[in-house]
Amino acid sequence: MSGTPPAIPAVAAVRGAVAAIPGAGAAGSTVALPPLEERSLRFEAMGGNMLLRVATEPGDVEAADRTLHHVAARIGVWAARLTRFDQGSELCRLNAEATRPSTTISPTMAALLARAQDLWARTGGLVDVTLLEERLAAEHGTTIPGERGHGMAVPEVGIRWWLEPATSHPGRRGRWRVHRDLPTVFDLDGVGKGWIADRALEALGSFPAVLVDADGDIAMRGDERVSWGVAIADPAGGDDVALLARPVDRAPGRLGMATSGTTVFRWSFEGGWAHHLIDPRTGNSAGTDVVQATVIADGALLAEAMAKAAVIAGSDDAWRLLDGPGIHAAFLLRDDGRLLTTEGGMAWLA
Amino acid sequence: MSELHALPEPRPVEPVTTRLAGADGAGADSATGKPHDPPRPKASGAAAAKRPPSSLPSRLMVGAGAVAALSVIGAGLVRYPSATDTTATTTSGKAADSTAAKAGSRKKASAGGAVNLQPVRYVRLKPGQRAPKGAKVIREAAPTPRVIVHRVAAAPVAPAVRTVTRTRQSG
Repeated sequence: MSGTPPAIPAVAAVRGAVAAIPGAGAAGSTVALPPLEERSLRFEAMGGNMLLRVATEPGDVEAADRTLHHVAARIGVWAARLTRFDQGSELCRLNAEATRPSTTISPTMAALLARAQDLWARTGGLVDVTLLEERLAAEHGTTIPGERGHGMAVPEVGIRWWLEPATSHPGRRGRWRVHRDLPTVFDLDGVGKGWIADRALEALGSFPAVLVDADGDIAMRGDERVSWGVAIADPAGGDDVALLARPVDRAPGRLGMATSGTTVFRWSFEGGWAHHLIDPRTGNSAGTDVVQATVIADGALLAEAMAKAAVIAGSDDAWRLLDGPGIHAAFLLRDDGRLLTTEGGMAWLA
Repeated sequence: MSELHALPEPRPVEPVTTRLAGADGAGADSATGKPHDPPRPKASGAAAAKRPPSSLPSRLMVGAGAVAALSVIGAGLVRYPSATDTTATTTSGKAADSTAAKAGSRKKASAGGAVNLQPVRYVRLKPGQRAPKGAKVIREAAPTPRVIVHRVAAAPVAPAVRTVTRTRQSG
């Protein structure tokens, strides 16, 4: 039913990477807190690179390593359920039953789909996890037979699937059923990574500072003794950095940071090109002036969804979406080279 | 009919002369030739008879007069307008007008007094400005350079930002 989690390498110590900031904690504090030691673990999941990084007390290094391995294993289990690159995953099984009106799903899948429903509503339908066929068509430069894009405001169409508890299976507690009124397949690549990052952050809640990088969707929680910079990749690709942010310096609580754009996952064809961000109103790659959007929000999943919605909506309409609860800052790089940011957004940059 | 009365014959008035004591020997002691002390007023009563007359009232009068004189001199020194008088060194036209109005009112106020002080208005000329006709131009002394030393603590060195990861477009 689920794929095999990838092998997890050994934990790496980050020597000399933690800067102790004496007295930087509570106001008036004159006692220097002991420096923390950082431990990090890199592995692959969901078709991308994962990074777990924690700052721990020096005496707790061994326990930290064990916890990192434990959480990495859990991520492997989650990813094995949610990936579309493993035919044995729960997602692939769910999509294989696309024509069935209802399918029983695990609590993990149900939790993610419930969050996806919330984000669908919040973004006016721009973040839609049922556009896998459109995305695959964009990758291959083909078109989908029949009219997929509805050409109108998404909320008027309504969502095509819903969840309900699987009460008919009393022996299988916590399971849910997903109902579809049309053949519907799901693509959880985008929201899945953000959701995993948020869950892993919760699982590492015992550490003073944590950073989880799920292939670019980042969840983090800071401490006054660490100062972690997060680079925003240049949309042109490569190792260049467009901007540098210090989110945990500004808000040590739980944060998420994610980037979406049209310049990395894009494909050229005879007569045009396409990218992976599908506009549900047209069923095609979104025609937008936003090359790349980065959002800092209360969580990685919210940041990822809002960044994607901002790109699809375009710079004129993005601000309406980004002016909402839980969103701290957003940075939009337009195709004319201009950088647009939300009010106060520059304060989050290094 | 009117009755005529004869006015009395006017008496010749003797000229009043002041004679200094000792000028012609009159009033001087015939034995020593020194002038007599002026006769002291005779005190009446038992207390007056016991102590001589006090000079304190006259000393107080002299002291008060000296204090008053010093006050007048001091006030005159302080009020004397100088080139650095802030009320006089106006440069803007608006301020100059207000100063002129003040000067005018001061002139009116002093018109009824015994002393009529002519106010002197000092205007600092800007580069390129010319003094009005008939105005006396005084070259202002170059200001004494003042050196103010600020001890600025070394600016805190911003810690280098450690980039631990990057957010990027993901699939």
